[in-house]
Amino acid sequence: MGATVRMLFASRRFTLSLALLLAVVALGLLGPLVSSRDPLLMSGGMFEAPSREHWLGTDNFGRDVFTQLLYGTRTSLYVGAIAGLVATAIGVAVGALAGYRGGWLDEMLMGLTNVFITIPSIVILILVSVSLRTRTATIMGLVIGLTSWPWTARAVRAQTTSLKTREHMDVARLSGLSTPRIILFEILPFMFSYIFMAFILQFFGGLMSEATLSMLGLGPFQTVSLGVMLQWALLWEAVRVGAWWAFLPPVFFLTVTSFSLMSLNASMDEFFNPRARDRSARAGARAVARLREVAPHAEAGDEPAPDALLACWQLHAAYVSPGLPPVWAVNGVSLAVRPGEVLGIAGESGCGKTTLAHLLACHLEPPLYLLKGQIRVAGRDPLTLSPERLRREVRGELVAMLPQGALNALNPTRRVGALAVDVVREHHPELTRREVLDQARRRFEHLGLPAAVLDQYPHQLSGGMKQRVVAVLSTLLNPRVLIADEPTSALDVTSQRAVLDLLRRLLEEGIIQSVVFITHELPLLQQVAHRIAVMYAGRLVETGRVEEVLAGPQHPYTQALVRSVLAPEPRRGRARVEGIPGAPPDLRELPQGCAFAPRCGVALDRCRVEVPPRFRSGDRDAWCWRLLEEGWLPAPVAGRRGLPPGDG
Amino acid sequence: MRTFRRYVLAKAGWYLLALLLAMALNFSLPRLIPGNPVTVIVSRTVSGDFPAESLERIYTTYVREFGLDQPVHVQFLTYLAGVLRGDWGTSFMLYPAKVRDLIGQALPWTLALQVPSILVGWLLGNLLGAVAAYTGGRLDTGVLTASLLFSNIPYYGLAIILLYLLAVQLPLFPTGGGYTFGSLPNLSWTFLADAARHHALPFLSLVLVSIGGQAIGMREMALYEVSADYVQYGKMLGLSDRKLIRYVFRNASLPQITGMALSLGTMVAGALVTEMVFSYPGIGSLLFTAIRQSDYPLIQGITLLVSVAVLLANFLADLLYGLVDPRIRAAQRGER
Ligand code: SF4
Repeated sequence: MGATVRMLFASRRFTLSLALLLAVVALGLLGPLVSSRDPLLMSGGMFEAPSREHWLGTDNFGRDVFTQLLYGTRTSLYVGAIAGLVATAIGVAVGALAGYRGGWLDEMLMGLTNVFITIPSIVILILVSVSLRTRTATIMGLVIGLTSWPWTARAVRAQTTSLKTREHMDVARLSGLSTPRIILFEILPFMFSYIFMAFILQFFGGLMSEATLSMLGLGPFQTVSLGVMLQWALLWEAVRVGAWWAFLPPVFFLTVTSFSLMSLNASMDEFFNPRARDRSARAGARAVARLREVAPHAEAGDEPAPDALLACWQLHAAYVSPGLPPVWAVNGVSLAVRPGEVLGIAGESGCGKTTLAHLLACHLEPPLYLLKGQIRVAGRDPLTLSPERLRREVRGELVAMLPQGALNALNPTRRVGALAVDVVREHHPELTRREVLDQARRRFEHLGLPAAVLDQYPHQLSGGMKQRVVAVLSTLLNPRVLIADEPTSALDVTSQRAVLDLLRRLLEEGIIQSVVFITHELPLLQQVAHRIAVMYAGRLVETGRVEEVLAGPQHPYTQALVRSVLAPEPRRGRARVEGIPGAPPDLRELPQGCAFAPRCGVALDRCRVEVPPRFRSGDRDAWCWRLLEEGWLPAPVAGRRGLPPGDG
Repeated sequence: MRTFRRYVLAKAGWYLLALLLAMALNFSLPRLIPGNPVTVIVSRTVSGDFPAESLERIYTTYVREFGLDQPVHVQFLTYLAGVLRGDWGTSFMLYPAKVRDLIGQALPWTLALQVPSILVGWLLGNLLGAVAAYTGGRLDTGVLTASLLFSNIPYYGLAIILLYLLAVQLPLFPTGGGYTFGSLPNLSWTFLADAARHHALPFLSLVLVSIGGQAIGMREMALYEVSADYVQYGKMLGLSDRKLIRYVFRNASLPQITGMALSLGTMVAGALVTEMVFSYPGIGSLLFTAIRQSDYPLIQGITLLVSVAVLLANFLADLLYGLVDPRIRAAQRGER
């Protein structure tokens, strides 16, 4: 809690809006105490311009506008606060009860809530205000609060239903706590920030409603509020007379107050809503440049074979957000994929596999930054292309991606056929819609997918079908390389096989020439890949032909991986990579030396100090100091360094 | 289709309930005023010397209209029947003018002002919000701050400022009214041009405020969409930003349709007050006068009209949403 508050105050938007709000509140609270005038008594002539006597002039009855402003601010804030409190209290009670209890009570309460939401509250407010014999500020606040709670009720209900599924709730229920107690002690505390934000919104709404009602002539009796001031100005034609001092100050104060409230709300939303937070965290160019300095230079002799279709060398990439330590996701990876080849990339999750996939697919977006290294796709350097040419000539054309979680990769409101048209015409605008659809139909049928899916929406497809559709869409433009990121995880065995068959088919037909297949399941790679590269903590640890690596893994990490797969696994024969004791290192703080050392059973002293270089035997590479003893030779490179740990 | 019909019926049921509730509120208004409403009304309306027999006539008119001699539930039914027949009562301040006719005169002005400004504001605001969310960075911050500022100048505040700046200080636009004082509404070009000049400022002020509010809502919706897998996948396939913004806009604006319908109540309220500021001859100005004169039948008529309009718009938005979004259509058909 304390830490949260401290971090909130680090947000500039939050502190500024809070300061603004507090200033207005202080003015409303203290102002009337220091002013000696009465806002409702005449103290000068009609519409006198601002002077030393009357700082903001006088209104049509010769009353002091500045005094009115002080008192008016106080009344408006008071009405808004009462309305906000009442509405939040009712809304939270109704919403939490409905969300927690569920069932018929939920349906009834929410039905009622929705009915109240659809009746325009201004109508209720007008009708009630007209009928009231006395309208004090307190009564107005109450009435406004009584009409505006449904919004909060709805939002709180949604929050409660999602909180309800959490574990500690079961414990509370089982321990026999009563409903009100559970709501009060187990649910509401977790929604504190949320409720506060709801109150801010209701406060804002109350302020606005008071002003609207007052302008309509339904404001508080015998008092001045900001809305009442505006009504007077309107009634006595202050605007057309040009007496700006009578109407600009109340407008300004209303605006400033509501701006500070809404801005406060937005800043808190930015803070508590992680999606918004990620976006606000974009790295400055300077931070990235500094990291580039730190990243080691490419080694000689690392350039890939000239016949490689897709190659990278000495790639260093990190997620950089201001105020947070960089995440070193890829630390000096060199790879090459030759035509006709399937390269498998394996490793536990959190090893930088997906990041590498995005780099290879030339998909670089903040907060991911490429710090060092080179990429070649079919002999071209995508990093030197303009974003527009990169998009048009490389992505989808030369290299395409079959993304992880492809289940949501299709735009839910667009038919598959329309998506195909979008993809193809983006690169070949000369084709007509019809031509593309015909082409797509033939391609789908050729690959054994029913052409009818072109007329369907994504939600009408099964998970396995969706994955295959995505694969076909990705390869519509006949890209040279397909990068498949965990294409079969989350699928059942039959669908897995169908996807693998499809990939094989795409290769055989020459639609694509190479595949980079990323997975954490080694047995899969045995089926599809020719060569394999094992990653750990953003670095390669071993590469080689798939049969050789799996039959005789050399690196302790690969050995552990293979062993964990072979370990009998009762459920569905799935590999359990978690079988390796310990967890991959935090990519924000890579250990010095070999990243695997903390989990390695055979680590040497040297391992904890120096990053192991590449050792080579035949066409197999591995990065482990132990291999020196086995007679492997270090690759002919000098001065290889890892990233200085903890630096930056 | 059968399930869609069930969806429509269920929605219609809830809206009917809301309508009944709104009517009940309307019905109870004059009855909440302490004392016999008719006596209060007549004594308030008619001051000065009035022939006894016309006083008598006024009195009986209202007693009959309210059905005060009957029990409450009969009164309510009488009221419902009257409303449905289009008999919305008789105005106090302009006796014996019918409420229906007074509203009928003002309504075209209000429609001409509110419908286009709400639609234009919705479209521009949503576009701006989607672009801001998609592009991110400085543009996003700028749009957010500007929208926060604009949507937080209260409707009438902006109206007053525009009126002062563009009509009083710089006499570019007329200072109020729907047409030049003294001319008679007709369909000639000169009159229409004159009306358009009077229309411009209130229109502008309504559009500006609703752009801000819509942009904020849209930006929030679009943020969810922008981080969705399908946008990332589109980027990897080389789809252009323009295309992806269109995806995001469409998918985020579907819920924004109902969002707009729900905020309609607030928008209409703001628009009514804006009319007052510009003395625009619509429902808002009529309401302002009615409230000042305690013309209860007229207030009742206007609030009823506003509730019916907002409820109807909400109902239509719900139907439209159900028709347009394939996901909802599927849910209605029971597919997955
Ligand atoms: S370098 Fe050392 S710590 Fe790393 S895997 Fe080899 S033996 Fe283990």
